[in-house]
Amino acid sequence: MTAPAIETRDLTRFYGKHRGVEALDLTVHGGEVFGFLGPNGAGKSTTIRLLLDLIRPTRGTARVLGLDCQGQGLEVRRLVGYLPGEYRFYENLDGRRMLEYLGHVGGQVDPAVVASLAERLGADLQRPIRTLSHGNKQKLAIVQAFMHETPLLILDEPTTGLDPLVQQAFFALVEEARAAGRTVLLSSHNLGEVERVCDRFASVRQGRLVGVETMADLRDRAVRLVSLTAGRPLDAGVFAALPGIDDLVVDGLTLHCTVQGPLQPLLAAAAPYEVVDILSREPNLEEFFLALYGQREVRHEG
Amino acid sequence: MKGSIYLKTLVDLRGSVIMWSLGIAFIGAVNVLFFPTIQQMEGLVAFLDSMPPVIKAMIGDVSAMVRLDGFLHVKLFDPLPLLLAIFGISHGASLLAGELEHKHVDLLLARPVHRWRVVLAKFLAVATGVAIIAVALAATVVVCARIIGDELPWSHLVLGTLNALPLSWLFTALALLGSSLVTQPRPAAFAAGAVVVAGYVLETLRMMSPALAGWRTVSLFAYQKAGYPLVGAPDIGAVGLLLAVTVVLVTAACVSWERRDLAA
Ligand SMILES: Nc1ncnc2c1ncn2[C@@H]1O[C@H](COP(=O)(O)OP(=O)(O)OP(=O)(O)O)[C@@H](O)[C@H]1O
Ligand SMILES: [Mg+2]
Repeated sequence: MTAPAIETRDLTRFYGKHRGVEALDLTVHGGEVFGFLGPNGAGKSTTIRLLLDLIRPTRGTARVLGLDCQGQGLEVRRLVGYLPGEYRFYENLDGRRMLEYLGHVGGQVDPAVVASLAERLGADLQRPIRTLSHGNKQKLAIVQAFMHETPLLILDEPTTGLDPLVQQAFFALVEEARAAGRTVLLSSHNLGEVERVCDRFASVRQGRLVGVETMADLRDRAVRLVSLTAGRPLDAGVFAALPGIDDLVVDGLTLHCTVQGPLQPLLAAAAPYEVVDILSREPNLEEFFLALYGQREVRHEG
Repeated sequence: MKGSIYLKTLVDLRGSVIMWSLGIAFIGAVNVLFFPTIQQMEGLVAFLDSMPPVIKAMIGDVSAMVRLDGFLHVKLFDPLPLLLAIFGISHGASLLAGELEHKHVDLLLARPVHRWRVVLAKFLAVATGVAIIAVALAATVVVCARIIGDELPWSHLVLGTLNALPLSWLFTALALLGSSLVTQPRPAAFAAGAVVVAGYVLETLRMMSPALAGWRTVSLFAYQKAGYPLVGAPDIGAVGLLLAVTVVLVTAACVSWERRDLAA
């Protein structure tokens, strides 16, 4: 069996007393597009910078494609294309010179690859970087991450500042990377974005791993938001006892709840009350996320 | 410039190197071109001799002031590392801490390059900048000496100027080491600057008082002067010592930057 693309064990990093990330056990398989999801300050960038040996763990280990991130940092970095969450270019250069410079620090790049990436993203390579807008700089950052055609891409909030069209072009690049058997780790605040491209995702909060989900799992365990209006007053007790029912609110003739699993038990229980109207919808991923493990964590925040 | 951190750093420094070369060349030219006027001043030596000991200590060998080599030693060659140190330290201090402060670090150091190579390349670039300024000064001094018709061998002028390099490099390396330890350039520059000033004060005090002759072994400026003295043979050992300390400092900076955790 080949080594996982990324494997962390008990990976922990404190900034003084402040927790960056703690006891992170994460495995990203080769060839998958893996989402790394969490709110501000969750520890995404901390984890990523540990993988690249820019910062050092308080304890625990991280391996990339079987190589130890701390002991074999140079070899690891040879295999990784990285888009930092926070960065500044050498602003006096134009895009082409900057990419040429970064591309040849310890490596080689094919100018044709750079040109093709720049064209697809609509990146301006001629103008001095300091005159570019935020989103246009982000395009260059994406180009520099992809240009080495490495087996692993680590992208820290890659879509910040990109307009929808460019985001589309970016996701197409990610799809192509997947098709080519490359692995992508992509951090994000945005569940919709993760849902769009990722095979699996891990969610982190306050430096801790909350869970790892596959997109298929997610759909199986899908929760539905149901609102029901009846012709006769509803008995809350009857509905509360049903399997998979949560967040139940019964108010005279109306009922609101979330349902996990099939709707049939709810419909059967409601039938005697002469159902007038029923509205059922899939929650968006944000609501799902919150229902799944959001509340408890959110309360602890601040 | 493809991928060469050395060339990239040097190119970034070019404006500063040009300004400094022009400025220092100007100082050199003024000193040499006005030397004949000063030389002809009546009672110059007597006047200088009447100065308080502090001033005399700063000037050095007063009687030598009436010859071009003596004059340049006192006015130009001996204090030159002080000037070059300003350039070396201001840029040396920002080499590493500046990358951090400006958040260039992630883009650069996430690439497959040893961090020590980055440190070395950047040091060599600033050291080259210092050398270019010194060479510009040496050339100016040689040309101006010909203009005033002085007979001094050009090698003396060139070596006198370039003798400032080892100590200037040492100060640059010191700022680089500081820079590898902190997250902002300023503390590194201040620390290195403090060493330069302390070293110069120490040397001045040493010159003033025979009682302090023993301080010679710890005075950096004394080693620099010994490298190309006005009288006597150059002390290659002193030059070697300054260079060796520089190498140690650069090595320490490399090690420190390799080990460094880059949490800003
Ligand atoms: N250099 C630092 N010094 C001190 N604390 C830090 C430092 N960098 C990060 N932290 C702390 O570590 C925690 C995790 O930060 P991190 O940058 O990894 O979060 P993130 O998930 O990338 O957030 P964002 O989505 O805002 O980019 C935060 O609480 C942050 O305050
Ligand atoms: Mg971040």
